[in-house]
Amino acid sequence: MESRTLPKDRLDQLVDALIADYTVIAPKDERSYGEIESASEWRSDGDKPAQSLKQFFLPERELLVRYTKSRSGVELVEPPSPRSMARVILGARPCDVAALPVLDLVFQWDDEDSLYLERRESTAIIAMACDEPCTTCFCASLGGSPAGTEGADLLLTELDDAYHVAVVSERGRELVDRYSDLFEESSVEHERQRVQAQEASLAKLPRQVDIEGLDEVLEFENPVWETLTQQCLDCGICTFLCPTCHCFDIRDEGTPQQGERVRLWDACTFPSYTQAHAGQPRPVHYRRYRQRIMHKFRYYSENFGRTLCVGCGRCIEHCPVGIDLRQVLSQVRTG
Amino acid sequence: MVATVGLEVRSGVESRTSTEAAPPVQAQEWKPKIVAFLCNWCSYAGADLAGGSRTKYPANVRIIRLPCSARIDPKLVLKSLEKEGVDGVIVSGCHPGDCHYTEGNYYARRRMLMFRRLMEFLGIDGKRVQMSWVSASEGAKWADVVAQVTEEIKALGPLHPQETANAADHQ
Amino acid sequence: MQQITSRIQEEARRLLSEDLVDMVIGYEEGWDPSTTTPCVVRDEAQVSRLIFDERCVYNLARYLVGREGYLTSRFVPADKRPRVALVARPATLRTVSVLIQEHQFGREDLVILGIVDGTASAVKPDVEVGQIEPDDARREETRARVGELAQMSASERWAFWREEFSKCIRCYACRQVCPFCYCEECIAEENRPQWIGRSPLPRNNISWNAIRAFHLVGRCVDCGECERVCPVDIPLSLINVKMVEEVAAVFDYVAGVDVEAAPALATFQVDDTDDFVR
Repeated sequence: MESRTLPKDRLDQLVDALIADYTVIAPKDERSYGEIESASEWRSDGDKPAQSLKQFFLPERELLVRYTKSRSGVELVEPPSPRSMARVILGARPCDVAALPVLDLVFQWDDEDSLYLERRESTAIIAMACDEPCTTCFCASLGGSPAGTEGADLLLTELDDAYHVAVVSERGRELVDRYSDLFEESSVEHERQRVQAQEASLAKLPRQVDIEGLDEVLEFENPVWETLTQQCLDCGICTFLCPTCHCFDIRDEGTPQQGERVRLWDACTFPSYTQAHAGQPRPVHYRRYRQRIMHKFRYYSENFGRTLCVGCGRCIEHCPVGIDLRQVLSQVRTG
Repeated sequence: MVATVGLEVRSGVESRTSTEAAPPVQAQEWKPKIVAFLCNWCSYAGADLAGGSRTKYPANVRIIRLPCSARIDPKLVLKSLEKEGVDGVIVSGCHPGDCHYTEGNYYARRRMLMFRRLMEFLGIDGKRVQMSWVSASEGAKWADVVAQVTEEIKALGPLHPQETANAADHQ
Repeated sequence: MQQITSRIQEEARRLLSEDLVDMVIGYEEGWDPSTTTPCVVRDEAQVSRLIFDERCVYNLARYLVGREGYLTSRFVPADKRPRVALVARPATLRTVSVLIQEHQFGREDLVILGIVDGTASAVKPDVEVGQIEPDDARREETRARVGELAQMSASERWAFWREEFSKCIRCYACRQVCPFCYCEECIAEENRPQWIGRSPLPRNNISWNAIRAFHLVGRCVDCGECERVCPVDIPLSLINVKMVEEVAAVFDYVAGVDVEAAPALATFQVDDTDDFVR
């Protein structure tokens, strides 16, 4: 893989240059990534934000079409194509970035979801390797890594005096060429430091979970589901914070004369999820939780060959009642 | 996506993020709009009397008739306040002791006071959530109530400053 | 604290081995030394999982009620419901009082292993397993923050709350964790008509949080869970505590200290104040 370096004292210049040319999204605070107007708004140290990158590709509320009824009929107005909004995501964690190729699979499955796909097309991603994995990170269990490059265009790794810049994709190369006066060549010493940083962060990963063969072991009829997560509240925190959860509801908001058809994040944990006029096939918690785990760790894998999880650990860290997915996964194996 | 025969589909040209509501419509000169929930047996009859007596009072109020002031659920008041173009709410019932259903208005009294206090804490002026006791024979009082509340709301200004009476409801 | 843990385990062992209860709802170690998690123990052999210390914050009464609650489940006939023992913190004791006032279950349906702190509570534990210090510091802090907000002008408060509620992602964790949000169909789920808009626009978020706060008036016991669980740090306690103060000031009622009393908004006095009525 091609590489360059970015001297540390030029980082702000790169950020400023990007802001001048694109909409730049970076970690803003503990809670989420957001658009930054200056380099100082980028919160580059600390843990990854509670919210993932998902909202920039599948917004919490996304306009699908606006309708207006008049004497001449119904007029429909679609939102502008996301293709026109060129964005650069900066400082994203490898787990959040790796989630995007996983999500891509379902958004171009039986239907090409143009809103999602166009956002993907128009967004470049500069990832930042983790130096301090959290106690809840289990990316390695899902084939990821604190220095993972999947889904990224460039990956920055902090070295002593510079950032190592891995040029992962063609688009990454275009970015480096565009700002070529900021980048330097990468030397053997830089590569050595990069490997050392990567090994150091890998060594800090907490205990991982054995996903091997899980998709075959997971069974709908396993009685352990009934008592596995009795403390779960059925809120939407794990689903909404998860970088790979993507269920949505479609609603019309307005009056019969004028309004907007929108899609909204939904959560399979909610008691009303899958509630239909004919009834609710998952009226009790354990059925919904079973569906959640089976979907992520078996069905998605059967359909697409990937697990619908990147091991970011947010569900563990933010679960209001302390449920640990790693424990759940090991219990469905043995239980 | 939803295009069918006879309908026109074209790409929009606005450039807003998807998390915002629709843009505001052209502002007209603002007139307060007040939603009034009136109990059938006393206040509604009182308002009817005001009308029948040709008593003049501001036309800013929209009346909704309910069987009793106790039927007024805060969700109705909240929904009214949420609507673009609505600037205040009046809830009116029978005088305490005279409720057609004996005690409904007592419950309503407690409920509306707490609702008003909650709105105040959230930053909505309490004068936008008013209550009155108007009996079936008090047409003149009803006219007074509306006149006074209208003045108070006029002084407060629109509740939804960007959206005015002409904007459609975008929920 | 270790003593409380031992007492809880002792009592749980006794209750289960003498077949006095079918389950004990309590706390156990979590995935990390800083956390615990609610647990259900049905077997004497599992009793050693139960612990109690300052990390045990959950209001376990939440698991008793609602469509799937252990004492009220729609899916279990009334005569087949489990006999429950509950490890109860002071806020949980007040919660149980309110739930009894609201006829969700009877006092006799529950064995309470209570931890008390000297503050008033209508419901007394069946077994007092320990005493802790009251969380005066948190309450004082909340009250002070409420006072600060009350001093602001209406438009400053509106700006404050609008900013806070624009963060809301409608995960409903606040609702799901609250023992008093036991409605089988929440007003936010109703869609004919859609009283509370589902999408996370500031206006809808304000309506959601306002209506939930209103539905708690005269009921909230300030357990603090809603604010703790909010993933975007909205200071929900402030609204609920403000309304607790209002109810106390206007109706001289505090939820959870008198199990015979009618909840404040479910009753009236003929001479309740008319000051605000024209």
